[in-house]
Amino acid sequence: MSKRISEHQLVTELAGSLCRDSGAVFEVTGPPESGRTAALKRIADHVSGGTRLIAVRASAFESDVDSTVLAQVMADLGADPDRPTAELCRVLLDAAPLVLVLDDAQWMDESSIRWLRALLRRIHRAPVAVVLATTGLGTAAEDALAEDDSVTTPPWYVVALPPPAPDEDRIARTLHVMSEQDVRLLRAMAVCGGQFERSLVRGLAGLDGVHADRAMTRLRGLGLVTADEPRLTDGVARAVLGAMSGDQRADLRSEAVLLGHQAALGFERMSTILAEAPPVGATWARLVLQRQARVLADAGRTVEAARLLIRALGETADEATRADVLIQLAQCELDHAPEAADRRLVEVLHTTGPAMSGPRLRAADVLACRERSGVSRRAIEIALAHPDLTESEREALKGLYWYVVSVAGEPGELGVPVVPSLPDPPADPVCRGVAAWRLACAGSGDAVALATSALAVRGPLTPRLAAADVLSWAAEHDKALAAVDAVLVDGRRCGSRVAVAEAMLLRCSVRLRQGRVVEAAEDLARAEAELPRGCRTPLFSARHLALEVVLLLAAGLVDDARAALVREPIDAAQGLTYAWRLFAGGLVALVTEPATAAVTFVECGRCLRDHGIVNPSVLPWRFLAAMGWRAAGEVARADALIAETCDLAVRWGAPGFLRETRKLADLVRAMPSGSAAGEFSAGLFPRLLARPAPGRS
Amino acid sequence: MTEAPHGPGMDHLTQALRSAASGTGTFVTVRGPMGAGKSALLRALAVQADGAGAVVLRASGAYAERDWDLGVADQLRPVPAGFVVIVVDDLQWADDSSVRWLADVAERALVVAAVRDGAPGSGITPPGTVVCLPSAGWSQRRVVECLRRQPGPVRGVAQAMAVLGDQAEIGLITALTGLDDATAGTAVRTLRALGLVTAQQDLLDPVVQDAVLATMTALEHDAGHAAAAVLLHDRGCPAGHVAEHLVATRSALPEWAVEVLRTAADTALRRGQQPAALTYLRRAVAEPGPRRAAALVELAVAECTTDGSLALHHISYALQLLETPRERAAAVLRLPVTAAGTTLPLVRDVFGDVEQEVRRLGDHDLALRIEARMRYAGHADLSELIDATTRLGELENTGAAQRELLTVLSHSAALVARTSAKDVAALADRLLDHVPPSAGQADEMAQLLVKTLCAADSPLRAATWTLAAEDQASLRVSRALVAVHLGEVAEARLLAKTALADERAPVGPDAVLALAVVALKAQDEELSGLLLSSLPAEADDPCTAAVVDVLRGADAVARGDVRDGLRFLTDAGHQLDRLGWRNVVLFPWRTTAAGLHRQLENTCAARILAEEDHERAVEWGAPAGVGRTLRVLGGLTEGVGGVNLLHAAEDVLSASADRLELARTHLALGLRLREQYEQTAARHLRRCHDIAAECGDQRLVRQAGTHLRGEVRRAALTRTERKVVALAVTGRSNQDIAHALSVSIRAVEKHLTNSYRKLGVLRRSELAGALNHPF
Repeated sequence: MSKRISEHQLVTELAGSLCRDSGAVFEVTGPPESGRTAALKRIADHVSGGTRLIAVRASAFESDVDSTVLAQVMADLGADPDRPTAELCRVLLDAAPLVLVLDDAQWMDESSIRWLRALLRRIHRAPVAVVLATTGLGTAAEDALAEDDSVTTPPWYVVALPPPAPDEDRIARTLHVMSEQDVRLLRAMAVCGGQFERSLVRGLAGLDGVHADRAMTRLRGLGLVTADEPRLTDGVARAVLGAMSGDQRADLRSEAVLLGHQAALGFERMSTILAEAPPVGATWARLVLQRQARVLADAGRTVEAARLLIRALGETADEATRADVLIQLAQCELDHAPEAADRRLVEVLHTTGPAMSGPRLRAADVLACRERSGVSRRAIEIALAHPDLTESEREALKGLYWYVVSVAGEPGELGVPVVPSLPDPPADPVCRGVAAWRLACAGSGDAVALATSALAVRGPLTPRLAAADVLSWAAEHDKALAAVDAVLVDGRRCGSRVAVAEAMLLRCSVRLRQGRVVEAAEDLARAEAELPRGCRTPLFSARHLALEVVLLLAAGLVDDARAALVREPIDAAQGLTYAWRLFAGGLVALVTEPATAAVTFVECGRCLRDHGIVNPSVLPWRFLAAMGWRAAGEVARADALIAETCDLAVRWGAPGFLRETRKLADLVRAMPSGSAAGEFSAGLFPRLLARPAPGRS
Repeated sequence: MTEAPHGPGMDHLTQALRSAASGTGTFVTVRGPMGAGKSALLRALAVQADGAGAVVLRASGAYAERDWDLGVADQLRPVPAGFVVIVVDDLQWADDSSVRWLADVAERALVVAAVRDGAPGSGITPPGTVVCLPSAGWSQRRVVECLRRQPGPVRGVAQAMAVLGDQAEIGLITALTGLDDATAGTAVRTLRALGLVTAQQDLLDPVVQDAVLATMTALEHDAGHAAAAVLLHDRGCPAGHVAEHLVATRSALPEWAVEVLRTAADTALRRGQQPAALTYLRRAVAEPGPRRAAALVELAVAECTTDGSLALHHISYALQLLETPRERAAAVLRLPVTAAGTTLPLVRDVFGDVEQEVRRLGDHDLALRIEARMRYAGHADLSELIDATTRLGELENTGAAQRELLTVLSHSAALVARTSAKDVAALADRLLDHVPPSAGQADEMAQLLVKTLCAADSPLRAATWTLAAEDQASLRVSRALVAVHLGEVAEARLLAKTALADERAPVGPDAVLALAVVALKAQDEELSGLLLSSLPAEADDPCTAAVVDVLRGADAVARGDVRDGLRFLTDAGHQLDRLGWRNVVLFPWRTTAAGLHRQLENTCAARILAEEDHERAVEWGAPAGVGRTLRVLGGLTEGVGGVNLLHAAEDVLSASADRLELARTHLALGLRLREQYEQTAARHLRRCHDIAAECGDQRLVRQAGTHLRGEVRRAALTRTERKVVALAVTGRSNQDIAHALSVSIRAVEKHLTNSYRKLGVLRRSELAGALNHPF
């Protein structure tokens, strides 16, 4: 029956109804701060001289004091408010023409409302206009005032003011005037975060479905809840939470966590609530956080995952469990806080306690992969000093220690290793893998059998990768790939991203050796996706760069290869990293300025030798240098390097590699000198590095 | 203002108005329950009276003004002389003096008053006539207002009825309200008079029910439903009815409640009402107690078809509540193997712990069965698939647990296709021997094996299994898959469409994948369209997304947009590669893409794709794949080399179950050979035609038939006639032809006339069509 009009139309209608001697009601409604009072003032200003104006305002504080509003109106008319309602109505009707303005009508007390309703039944024949301002908060007064459709109801016009833009102060003020039910609902929604289960919010607010729906409608009317789906906007949630005391927030959050757990909410919602809640002290809370973190990390959302895991550390747990969380956290922090990640692992290694053997070994395994030799070496040294290590753990840690030391090429601060050297022959699979790697670097043919036996056990990942390396150097490509695939699966299972990326890189290099360039490129791309640029260690970056350059040159993209070199500065590199960088640079030089390439490759070889890596299969720097020398016309030097490679290949003894070496030697010897050299090596390139697999050529 | 009501009520009032105009007063009472439209009728009368020149006076009674002496009369006085009409609303609340006064006024004026039935004071009997209006509808606010004025028992009964809903019968109402029969009966009658109760069934009107519930506090609400649940339970009502109330209350539940909820969920599930079942189970889960873990497991099982990851979350909660490793393992095993296919990291996490525990326990079989689930979880991950292929070699086929794991592993091996199809097929074949053909519900193991066998180009064995099994909706998809791998496209299409149209058994993600394979292999655009329209625009899991994109590509091509189609297809194909789904028999996207490249005259790209495809096909070794890729390569290769490849394809495919591929190869050979070896070409076309007809591929039948007819007709022409016709269809004039062949024009005309006769055409323009030959 009510009719929506604009404020402008209201003024015209109001004047019209007074002239026609027929009363009307004008309701100005809008949420708090939408400018209702100002609108009433503007309307009152339009009331002309001959008409009486009575303006009264109700207040929330006096809404339960009897007859407050009525008394003010009667005082204005000079009448005694203690007379029967019938007479009070007549008093007002006698004063017509009249405009009665009631601001904040939603707070009117009960007797005033009763009087007003009686009055409204009687104004349809009198020049009386009633202007009401309401909020739509759904107060008792608003419900009571709502127009009925009896024959005496006067025309009812509504001006709806738009809700103001949300700002936190305004919301805080609104919260003060809202009903307790509504506030409870708002708080429950705010605590449950943006996405919530309706039943949970209801339970938390202590409202049943019908009441919650009504409260929700009011909140929606106030513009606090989005219209399409019940969701709080960020600002509102912040303001609602801000208006609560710290204890209230914590209590409500704890309650939400318990209710959510009782209702077996999905991990996503549960972890949103848990993230802010005080510690629960139950295993399930930690597990939910850890599992949701795993899902998030898998989707690449590592920052969020790390946040959940840090929260998971707040739950009480035994040391082994805590270590488990720490290792998972370290994997997530690789992207945005690599150093913190390493510290978490070191913390695990430093932990003593029962059942720590597994986590310690895992942490050491991840650290060894990380190639931050100083950190990992010291951490493993300290771990090795624990008196309560089991024999197998001690052996495994020792193996990892020696791997770290060998990669770094520095035994320790004092120049002397504090850990006894690896037994010969090693019994432990970890030691076997590492020993095989060290032997292979030195070019000893015994390494292959050792590596194969190391791979028989699916233990820590680093030594298995090292063993797979050995097999790839021995041109046992299929075995190497099988080992890599197994590492990939296990690495994914235990969430070791570095090991997965390393495995991808290794697979890329094996595929290159097999001549499967497309698949190699796919692997390199996957390694990049697994470990973004920011969180790579220098050695990883250098090896990645070398493989990238090979792939680019194989595709004939010389300029891109050169750009890739420029992208990563060479200055700070040292040790093996420097060798790989030099190798990558040498490759580009070989195509662009072949005569200068030899020097770079020889420098690279010097670094490798310094690390005790003489095996020609690790990096074919000798052949490439020989090509450089030939291009520069220094045939004797070239021949010396070729001969050295062939000798070393014989010593290494892998038949597949030996065959490849002999073929390549012929190729290298065909390298012309002078201007033809660049073209020759460019033409040779895909074949040179993407060497044909044994049996395929 | 609503439109003026009409009908008998209004007619009566109009008549009264007419007599009032002539100076005769009357008192008319309009009665009816709340919401019957009394006020609207009164308002309409007022408008009519105003139009007729009467002075209209209005008043209404109010509950708050019942004791207000002359309260209603005061609204009307003074009454002017002449033609006056007085309308009074809610007369039941008017004070006695006002009613008497109105009766007096009715001597000279028309008084029309409305009385609300069922309201306090509605017993009033004014003089004059009565018009009765039936109940018409309700607004929540008015119900609330109305009930507030009713005595306690009436409110109580209304609340009890609202809580009980459909089960509101008088016995339950009395028990729930604690009233005696007589009081409750009176209250029900009052509610009926108010029009709050539907006439036929004595139930609350749904709007009224909501409104009544809204008047109750949360506490009353919870207590009401809890009491109702106990009441229904004690009376032995079906579990579903009790569960409705258990779900509605937040009070702590009695001990039996969880069992009732689980029973109700079980019944609902068997009736296919999954949402209701989930609601019951969620309520059961929210109740702490010893049975919570079991309820969580049941919840997970119930929702695993719709939300796999939520199911995993719930299993994970259950695992924490279960005490022994065996119980935990049993909980994991309650989930079907395929339920693990959703969130790999979560499965690794949740199942991995249990697997380790079971291994420590030394229970080899349990460990294998859990491993089967973990392996299936990795069915869309390249490394996992390759690892699964390795694992396949380590196992023996000795027990049920081994067989379950082997089934999953062979499926993985078939997807990634890095081993020998023959071995995988042989294994799957042996495994299928252990699956009973008429298991109560279509066995998921069997479905995996059927897929594996199809992928290994051995669908015949799977066919015997699916035919022996009972006719079940869930098997239809498997049958369609088998049919399409046998080349029986007509059958496959029919089965696939039936499966899609069956609303009782909505297709899950696995079935969607299988149907997509059917649509692509059968090259059925209609089926592709149907599938696409039944799927959401954004698929959650990467597998469905990739396969759907392949379908989109096919769809774009069917619409004539070759470039778009190719893009979709290539992207999706690479996505499949990344997932490790490299089986060329199941996913022949490269062949399709090569064909599209060829249409775009990019032979080089086509060749690269075809060669890649062939390499993979050879690695897998399934004849259907090898033969098809050979055929495609043959099509791309000019000269004798191409023909040799096509012959090689024919040889390989003669050992394949996929007859349609063979037919296609015959077509390719027929077209390729017809220039030099007409007879051989015709034989190939004939073979193609026959096989395609057996397979029910009407498109291929038509294609082969048209070419065949052209060949037969062409064979009837002499060598010279053929030359003449060949030149004629290129648009050369007779003179040109004569010149080119160094014969007379007359001879040319004669050859042409003979050719027309032999080919059965009347004019030159029909020549080309008759031969259907690209001259």
